[in-house]
Amino acid sequence: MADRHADRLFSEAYDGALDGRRRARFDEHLAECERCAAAFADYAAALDVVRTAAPARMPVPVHLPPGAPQPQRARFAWPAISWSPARIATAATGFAAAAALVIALSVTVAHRGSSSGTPDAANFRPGSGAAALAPFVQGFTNRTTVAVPGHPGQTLLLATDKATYAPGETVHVIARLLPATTLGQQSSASGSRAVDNALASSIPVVRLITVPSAPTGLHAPASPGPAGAPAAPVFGAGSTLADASPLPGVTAADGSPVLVVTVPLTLHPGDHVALVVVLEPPPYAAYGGVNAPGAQSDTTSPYAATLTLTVG
Amino acid sequence: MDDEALLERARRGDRDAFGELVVRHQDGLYTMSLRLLGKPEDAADVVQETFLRAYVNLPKLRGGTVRGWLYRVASNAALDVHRRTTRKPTSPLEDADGKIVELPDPALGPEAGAEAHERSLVLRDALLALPLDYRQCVVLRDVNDLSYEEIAQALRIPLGTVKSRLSRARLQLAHALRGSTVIFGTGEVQG
Repeated sequence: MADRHADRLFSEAYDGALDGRRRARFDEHLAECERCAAAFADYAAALDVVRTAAPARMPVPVHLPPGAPQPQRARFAWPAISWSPARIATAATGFAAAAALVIALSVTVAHRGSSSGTPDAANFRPGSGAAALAPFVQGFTNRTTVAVPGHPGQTLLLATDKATYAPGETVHVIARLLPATTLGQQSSASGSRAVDNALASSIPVVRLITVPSAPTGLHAPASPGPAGAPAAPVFGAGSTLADASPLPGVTAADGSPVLVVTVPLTLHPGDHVALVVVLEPPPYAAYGGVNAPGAQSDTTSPYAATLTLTVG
Repeated sequence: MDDEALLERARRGDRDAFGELVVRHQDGLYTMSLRLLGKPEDAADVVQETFLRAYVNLPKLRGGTVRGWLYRVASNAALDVHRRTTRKPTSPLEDADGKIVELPDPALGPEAGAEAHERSLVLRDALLALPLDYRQCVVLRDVNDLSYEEIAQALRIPLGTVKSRLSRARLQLAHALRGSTVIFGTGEVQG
């Protein structure tokens, strides 16, 4: 090694990762080469500074989504509360409508439609009915987002594939909690956030509710932003129909479930329905953080986002 | 209980087991992100995003460590934040009342002396001067003390690439720090 210096071995030498023979040659070289001996001493001193710099502490609590943690590639499994047909069948009102809903649902799912291989299909996780739904999943442009108070960085997203539906038609719904300020393409406080990097997390309840015919009878969709008060949920003002169900075997591009609910056959053009997603307490536990050691539970009251759909 | 056991419990739906992983690893992940990206707000975003992603996608580890896996999720999240923030400035964090939360680097806090403060800034600038892929390696090794194998797992690169990037990164970093009188004073710099 007399004709070249040993800089390229400094890293492994510093870590003690040179094997016996290479270590011996390295030590020999340093014994003969003043330049390398001094350079390695400086090198080690500099890295020592880096390694002994004080670690930082996460300064704000980490928020976890509601529900249980999910293993990788799990079959989609919802919390027990909302999705059984029994619950649909025993809805407080509209039993006949609920029965029609279940029938309409199976008819819709069974009808695959033409598989046109749209460009969106590439973003779509394969499953039965995937091709038929691909146009819907990518273009969920009818949406509302609501900031969740008390949880900076959490936003509730509710989106449907269209804004107007015929009676008996299936509404495709995505309802999710989005994470922080972070990874969407847009971060306007009042606009919608892109869902490209957002997460799936379980949303307890999505309900379809009939409302008085005039949209002014509804509370306005919530204006997001930490200072704004959330819109009061609509479901107190109308009659609750069925809860949405996940569509088996189908997920949106990021793994979140696509929910379906069917517009009742009893509605007429010009009627309105409200699609409501409700977060029920306690949705979060905040862990750790410099000022909040250990787990804490929140007792946030139920929180809802609402989309108004028109029957056309 | 070790990390692997906690992960296994979390995979079976144990939320508290996941919470324990959060408590164990959040500071290390935050420090990594802070040294990698430079801004406390970005670092906090990365940590939050890491645990949100991990929560719904818990792997069955086949070789590798829990730490390697978590730092992999975090390294991806940090890249995403880095790409975003090179286009736009960071939006500040807000607390529950909507007030902007100032997040100073704790190492620069009032309990640190003026000297520690300056050294911290020099270190930060020296790290940020490295290309991002070099910076990732040296942060994981010399800030977070991950093994070469864990770094390979975290960055999804071969072991040989870890060693060569680390070597180049450290040479550049050491050179920058050597030249700093704040770190080494005036009498110690050689050649």
